[in-house]
Parts: sequence; structure tokens; C-alpha cells
Amino acid sequence: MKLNKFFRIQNPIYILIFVNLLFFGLLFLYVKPLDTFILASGAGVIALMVISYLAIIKLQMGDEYIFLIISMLTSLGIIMLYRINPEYGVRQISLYALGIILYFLAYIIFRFIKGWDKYLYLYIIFNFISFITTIAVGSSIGGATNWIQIGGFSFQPAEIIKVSFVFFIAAYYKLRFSSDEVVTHSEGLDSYEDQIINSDVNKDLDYTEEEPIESIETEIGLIDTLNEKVKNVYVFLGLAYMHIFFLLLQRELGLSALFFIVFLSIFYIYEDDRKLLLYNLGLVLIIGIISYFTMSHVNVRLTTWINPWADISNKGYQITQSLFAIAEGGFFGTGLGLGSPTYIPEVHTDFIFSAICEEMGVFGGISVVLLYFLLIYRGFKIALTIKDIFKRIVALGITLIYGYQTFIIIGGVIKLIPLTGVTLPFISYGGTSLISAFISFGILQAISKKTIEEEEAVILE
Amino acid sequence: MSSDKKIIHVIIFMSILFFSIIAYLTYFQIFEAADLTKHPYNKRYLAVEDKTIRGNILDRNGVILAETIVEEDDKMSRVYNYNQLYSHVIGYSSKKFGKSGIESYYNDELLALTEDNILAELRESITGKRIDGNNLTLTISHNLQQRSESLLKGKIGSIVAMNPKTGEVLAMVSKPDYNPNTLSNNWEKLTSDERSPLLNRSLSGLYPPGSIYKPIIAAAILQDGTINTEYDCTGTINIDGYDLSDFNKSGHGNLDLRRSMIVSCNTNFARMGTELGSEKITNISKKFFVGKDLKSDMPISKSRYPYDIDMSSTDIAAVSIGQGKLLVTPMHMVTATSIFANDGVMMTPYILKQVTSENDRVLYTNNNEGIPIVSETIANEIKDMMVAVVNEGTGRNARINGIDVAGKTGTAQNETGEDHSWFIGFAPANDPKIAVAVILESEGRSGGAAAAPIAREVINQGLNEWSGE
Repeated sequence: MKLNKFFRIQNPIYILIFVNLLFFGLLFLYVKPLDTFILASGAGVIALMVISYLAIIKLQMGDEYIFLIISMLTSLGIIMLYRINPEYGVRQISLYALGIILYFLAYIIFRFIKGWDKYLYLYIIFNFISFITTIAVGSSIGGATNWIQIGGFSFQPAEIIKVSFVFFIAAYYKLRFSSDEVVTHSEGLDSYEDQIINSDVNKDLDYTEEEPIESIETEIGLIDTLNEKVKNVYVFLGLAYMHIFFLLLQRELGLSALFFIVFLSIFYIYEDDRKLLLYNLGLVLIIGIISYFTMSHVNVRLTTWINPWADISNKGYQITQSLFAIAEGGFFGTGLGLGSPTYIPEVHTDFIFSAICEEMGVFGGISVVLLYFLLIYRGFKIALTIKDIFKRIVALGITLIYGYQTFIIIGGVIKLIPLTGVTLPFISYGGTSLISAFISFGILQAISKKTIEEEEAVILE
Repeated sequence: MSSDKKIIHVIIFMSILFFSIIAYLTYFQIFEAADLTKHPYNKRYLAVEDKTIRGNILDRNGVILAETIVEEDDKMSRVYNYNQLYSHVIGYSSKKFGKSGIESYYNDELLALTEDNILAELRESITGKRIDGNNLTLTISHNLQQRSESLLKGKIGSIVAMNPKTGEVLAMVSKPDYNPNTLSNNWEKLTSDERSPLLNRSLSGLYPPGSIYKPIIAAAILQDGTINTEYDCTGTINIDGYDLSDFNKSGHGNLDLRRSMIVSCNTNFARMGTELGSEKITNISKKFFVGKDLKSDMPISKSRYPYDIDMSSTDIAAVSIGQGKLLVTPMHMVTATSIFANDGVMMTPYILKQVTSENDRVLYTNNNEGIPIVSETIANEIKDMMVAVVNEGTGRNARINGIDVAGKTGTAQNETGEDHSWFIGFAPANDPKIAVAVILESEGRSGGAAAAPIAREVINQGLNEWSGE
């Protein structure tokens, strides 16, 4: 039945195979002298894709489209990177292979280890230790102190913290909403509001109760009182802002904005206190204004966004080069290998989207945007079908992270919003970000499997 | 509100974000991309220059003024065959210093960057051979340009000559100038020179017109027809408590409009102007494109007419004699003069005659349509007055034996303290072939004394050249 479905011609895997054949073929003709290694790489990428996809279908691992979309994006990235610098392309292929392994590993680990929702404190401790280690021993690349080197291997802890940050938020709400007790609020709030919030919270609780809840009574008293404290929304807010604060300390503007907007979105979904939401927005506005006046790099980002032409040969250089590249591409692009995207500094990481626009045109760029949109659409769909609040928030968090990250970097390189350095998920060159993206979507894949099982169970009943 | 509903809100928000990317990219590509592909900092654009043999620039008779020479080592160099002679016409094209003049206005044509050139580009990308740019033929006459330049040597100022019936610019000289062939050696000196040798005064020099504005005011007086032009000039006139004195302080005695023009009587023009009123003075100025953009294939600086309709009487009086805050360019003035030479129809000035591809296919020919400004009768009346100015008035130094020259002198007061010396004119009056504007900046002498003899030589040269045609 499933196999039958696979061989139907309209199956999207064929599109992937076709696109890869086309692009690697073009690349083979473009790079001189002719390098058969390109054809071998293309065959390798296609084989990896097809085998993994077959595994997902045959083992019924849940959502069939997530993997296809991220493979499409990754292979597009590989082709562009190969075109920019063959070394990057080759390395990205091996990272893709590693990413696929970790994708399935994440799938297995997330599915077969139970109780992810109970390690709230572990997530918090892990995150803060990672942050402190980065600041203490981290080295600085591109203006941000965000790399840790162990031996010859260097990675960005913040990319890993993206996942555990989502876990932290999910575990927090799980803890708060699974308890029968009234949520503790600060005394400043009036009781009428409390009642509304609490009754809403209880409504949300109704369907989470089918999940086995570890009863609080079995925990030792110390954790118990700690839980009570953490459940306070202000303690939670404090912890979340600590993450953002640490990222700002590392001068990671893009990531801190990303963490904030992901946090705020989930906060909006699960908190009914409108005032508190507005306070958060106000607070961030104040932080923004203060950093504009005190932190020179924030100031630079904003002024080069408003008018990059004023300092075109220096501070505005990168963004204007990016705009030149996009302008050059027109709607249909110069064609693979026929543009000059290497005029843009760091084109292989943050500015890869401009390279795509130059050589594949704005239509190519829009297709990429739509692919991301499909991807996050799948993510939202999975989140909406999940009943367990922890898994739901994890699914939502991962979707939001990659959705907003895409917007932040694409919006930045096209000068729609101020430019902040984050990578374009799956396409940019970069080990840690690619791997953490594969792990994240491996987890999403695992969650999607759960959904289908539950749905089937419902149908059987 | 349930969490499901709020998730939908977040989905909508995310969709808006993604849609805004798509919308912005589309907007960018439609409205902004075209300018960016030609931005001087765009390295891709410079790369095109390396792949193209920049076209030649020729005068109206085919004399090569600028060309690109491909040397044996495949390096290209731009050569300006007449050094500083065309510095303010052709300008320069340099990777380091950018572009100016024709090299800048017609860069796309010189590089053959037109839309129908996709095939050539494709050929280039396959064979690796350079594309040939297009050649430009200018309306400039090389001989006239040479003569004009030699007349202006050692002075500061501008000469512009044009065909009043077509708008073709025949000569355009601005002094001081520079040699585009040795730009890189002299750049520092040129940019720090207080006399601004890089400034093209013909197009961008803004000067008070002085008395050469009087023909325009006279046109308004004739159009109105109600002003009594008879006046007894005593040498000064008091307007709103402000004494305006004449160049000739002893006074011109009894005169009418024609006589006022011949002797360039400030007091009578100031009186007639104030009687006409601000509305009519402003209307005639706007009609002659003063304070408005003068369309051309060259960027002509907008002349200044910084007055609104409620001008004070002293402002009106000042404008009536071409002073006050009024500022004009030499190119604008030769265009205005040509209106009287061309039966009241203005031909906008242009400098590109035609574009031809490397295989001599004509890609573009300029055709200029006239704009009626004043009636033929009024134009001819003014023309007659201007002939009288040269025959019996302040413009006597522009007289040419056997030919009626029409002209008007101007001696413009300005903040440097030394008067600018102006002359505008055209000839022959019965069938004008050439119109000129001459300005000598801060010359300190009257237009009749300093500028008129130069204009005379330019007109003479022009007429000699065209007598055979």
C-alpha cells in the first residue's frame, strides 16, 4: 500500500531527484576543469535522500513532508555553496550526512526515552552553564563571542541552546498546567483577574489529564516548594529574560531577538494576562532603546538599515553588496554560476539568500521562502494536533524558532528589517546550526509520529 | 481564548511576515533594482566595463573626439584626442574618479547596455570576446568649439552656442577646465582649486542675468499692452523708498521701450515692471522656464526664481532688471534667446545627435519638438529691438559687416563685487543660424565691452562654417 503510493509519479521525492540531477549536472558543466567528484556528490546526496525517505515511509515514522522539504533546502544550499567554493560544498555534504544520522537519532531518542517534560531544572542548569562557559572560554568570530573550541572542533553552544530553550518553556508550562493547585501569582494582581486566568487554565487542563501525570505528592518536599516558586510567572519571566540577557552579552543580536520573539509567541498563546504581555513588549522596547544608545553595534545595525548608502564603503558595504546582488538577479536570475555573489562578504553564511536571488532570481528566492513556509506550516499542523502540552509547546517552539529565524535573516539581507547575523536554516554554511536544525526537526518528526498514532487510536475507537 | 485559537493568531502573524518578504522582494525588483544595477559602487557594473570596448564620441562632422584604444597586452585605455577642449562636454570616465559629462549621461549607450543586446552578451560569455559599445555623434561642431575655447582662454566663464531652430548645441565651453587624459595626476589639485575647474559653468553655473533679462520683461510688457512705455529717465528712480540708479547715472532722457532696450535703461524697466505687477512678471519668467526644470539630454541646473506671487515693489523692480535673487545658467539664457530667433518657439537644447552601433546601424536619432512661448509678432518685435541694440546701442561691439546681429548686453552685479559680463545674441536676424550666450565671471567690465566682442567672433565663425550649407 505504502510502497504503491511511493511509486506514484506525482510523489514529491521525484521533484527532489529531478532538481538535484539538474543542478548537479549544471554544476558539473560549470566548474572547470570537469570534476567527476561533483557527479559523485550529487549521486550521494540523492541516494541519502531517497534512502532516508524510504525509511520514513516504510517505518511509518510520521509526517512524510518535513524531511522532503528540509532535504530540498539542504541540497539547494549544497549546490550554492559548491558554486561559491567547492570546499564548502563538500563539507556541507558530509554535514548533511551527519545531520541525517542525528535526525534519526533524535527521532529515536525523543520517542523512546520518556519523561522529557520532567527535567525543567536540568534544562535551566544546562542552558546557563553553556552560556557561562561560552562567555568564559569562548572565542569571538564576526563580532560575537559565541564559539567554543574543543580540540580542533568548534561549535556554537547557542545553536544547541535553541532546542533546550524550547524544552525549558515547554517543561515550565507542563509543570504549571498539570498541577491541580491554583497557580501562584504575585500579590500585586487583583483577585478577579486571577479567577479568570485560573478558570481558563483549568479548561486547558481538561485534555492534558489523559497523559499520566507524575503526582506532585511523590516528589520530595524541597522540589515541591521549588516547583511552587518556579510556577510563579515572574520567576519564569526572569529565567527567560536571563537567556536573552546572556545572548546580548555575547553580542548575539539576532539570536536574542529570535529567543525573545519565540518566547513571546508562546507566552501569548498560553498566558491570558494581556497586561503582562504588554509589559513585556514595553520592557523590550526600553531594552532596545537603551542598547541603541549604549551599545555601538546596535546603533550601527540600525543606522545602516535606515541608510546604508551613507557609509557604503565601510559599514554599509555588506548590505549594499547584497542589494546589488539581488538587483542583478532580476526576476529570473543570472543563472547558476553566471552571477558574482562572491562580491558579498560572508556570502556563504548569512548572505546565502542574496546569492540564491542573484543566480536563481527573485522567483527562486520566493520559492525558497515558500518552501520554508510549507515547512513551518507542517510544524504548526503537527502542533495543533498534539494534545500533550509539553509536546505541543516543543513542536510549536521548534516551528517558531525556524520560522522566525528565516524571517530575521532573509528580512535582514533584503533590508526589510535591520540586519542581524543568524544563519538561514538548512541552507547557510555552518556546522552547528545545520546539525541543531536537523536535531530539532528530528524531534518534530518524532512528535508527528505520536500524533498519527493517537489519531489512529481515535479512529479505531 | 483557547490556546488553539491563539496558535492560529501566531500562524497568521507568521504568514504576514513571510508574505511581507515576498511583497518586498517583488517591490524591490520592480522599483529599486534598476537604479542599483547602475550604481557606481556596484562592482558588477564595473565588470561590464571590462568586457566592453567603450564606444567612440564624434563631433557632428565625424571628427573623433574620444576613443578607446585596446593595447597589445589587451588593456583598454580611454583617449581624449583634444585634451582639455572637451573636458566639460565629454567629461571623463575613470574607475577611480567616476564619470562626468557625456561619458556619464550616455554611459549605457557607450557600453551598449541596451535591452536588445542580450545576444551580444551571450556571444561574449561563450567566446570571451569583448562587446563593442555604441558610437555617439554629438551636435557639437569641432571648429566652433575650438574657436570658442581659444576666445575664452585665460578667463573664467562660459560660451554656449546653439542652433536656435533645432536646439542643437554647437559649442559649449566652460573655463577653467582640465585635461581628462591626465586626471589621476591632477585630481588633488583640481578638487582643491577654488575656481572649481571641474564645474561645468555652462550647465551648472548660476549667475544673476542682469540686463540680458530685459528682453523677457519686454515680452511681458508687449503682451500686456497697457503699460505706458514713454518715460523721462533722470538716472535714478525711487521705488518704495529704495533708490535704484542707472548704469548711466546722468540719465537717458526721454525714451520708449525700444530706446530703453537699446540703452539698457534700468530705471524705465524697473518702473514698467512695477506697473506690470508681480503676477505678470512671475508669469513671463515661468513661461521662459525660469525657476522650472529645463528639459534636455544634459542635466541643466534649475534656474532660481525664489519669489511667490506677493513680491514687494523693490523685488519686482530688481527682477525687471535681472537682479535680486534671480539666478540663471548660460545654457538657459542661450535657449531663451533662441525663442526670439525662432518666432517665439523654444527648442530645448540637446547635444546627442545620434547613436550608431559598431556596424554603423543607426540606433537613435534625436528629434526635438518646439514649445511655443510667445507669439511670433512679439518675438519679432523683440528681435528688432535686439538688432537695434547691436546696431546703435550697448551691443555695438558685436556688429558684423553685412549681417544683422541681434543681441543684448548684461552687466550683472553680484556678491563678488566685480560685475559679470554677459552677452546673448543670434544672427543673421532675418534667418538665424546661430545663437550664443557668453558670460565672463567677475570680469569687472560691462557686457558690451567684454562679452560682446567674444560673441561676435563666435557668431562669425559659426556663420562662416554654415555659409556653404
